[in-house]
Amino acid sequence: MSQPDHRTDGELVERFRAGDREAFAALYRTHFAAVFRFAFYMTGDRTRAGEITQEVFVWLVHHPGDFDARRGDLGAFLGGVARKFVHREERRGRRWLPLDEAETPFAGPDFAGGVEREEEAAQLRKAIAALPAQYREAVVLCDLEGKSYDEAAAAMGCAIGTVRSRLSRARELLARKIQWKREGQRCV
Amino acid sequence: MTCERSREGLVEVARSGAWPAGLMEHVAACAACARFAQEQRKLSAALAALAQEDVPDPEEFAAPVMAEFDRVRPGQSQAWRWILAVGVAAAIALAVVRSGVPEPAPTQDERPFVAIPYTVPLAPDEHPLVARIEIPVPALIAAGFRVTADPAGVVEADVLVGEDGRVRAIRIRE
Repeated sequence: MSQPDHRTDGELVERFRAGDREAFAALYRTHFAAVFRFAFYMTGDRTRAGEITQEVFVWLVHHPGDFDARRGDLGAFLGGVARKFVHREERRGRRWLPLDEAETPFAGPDFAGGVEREEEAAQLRKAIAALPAQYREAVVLCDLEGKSYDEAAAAMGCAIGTVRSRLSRARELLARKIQWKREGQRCV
Repeated sequence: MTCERSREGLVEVARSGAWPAGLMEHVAACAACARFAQEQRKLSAALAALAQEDVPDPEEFAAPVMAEFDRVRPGQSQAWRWILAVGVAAAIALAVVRSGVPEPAPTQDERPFVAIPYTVPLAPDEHPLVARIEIPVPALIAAGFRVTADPAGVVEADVLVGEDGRVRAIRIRE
């Protein structure tokens, strides 16, 4: 299952729908990283991200006909499926950590040299994971996955202006979290 | 320019490096916005570093996914599976009709539901209904469940019904 595959997603999807195991494995290998990253950034938990990623591809096994290439590429389609699984989990209340009640405040690492230590990266992930879902999605899609406002708006099902304002608000909250720790008090 | 308008612009500056007209002058005169701009630049650097983190090898998570593919085999002839699934669903539907309006199941039962073989899983955003009914034992045996009750009898069970009205999973009570 580790051979590189040069066929297009369209060709692979057709073969997968016909029952071709290797075609499905190739699709899995191709899109695993993007689905995992999204789930990881949204949950802040590698274990849960792995589980959600598996759920997305198992879902694809059961819904081979749901992807329509005329409406976008498979990566965006699987991203949408992952988004639904993440939201479903949050609705179930398995994890919900309001920003103001997050147990570990952001440690205020020295960002001048980048996030070099895993501990600091973990704290940033935790701060992102504690954002309200709509703000967290904006940060994940725009700042961590590098999507354009257009692409993020399509993924989130909202207007570009909404993406911009959510991203701005999300980054204000994250910056506030950093400042809160550094100055030893909550900013208002 | 107000500080509120300045903040949104400064987020964009931190992301793209492009300064809108008038913003630089405001930041030069406003200590709070200057500090905000600096924090946003640092945040951009931290997020960029975070985005470079490694992703695990797909093989680590592949086994259950490929096992499900092998079990379902999209596109292969599955007539017998559909016949079985339809038969089970019909038997359960008949049981529902015979027992009248389903009683809402109590929520304190934490035992897991067992998926009916070869039925489509619930969609992520689907809101299933849980109903308590009596199911003929032969229907459960035909579906592959191991039942020790009288083969001619019925057992009480909770069923998970999708929004399309199809039964997806069963939790046998006793």
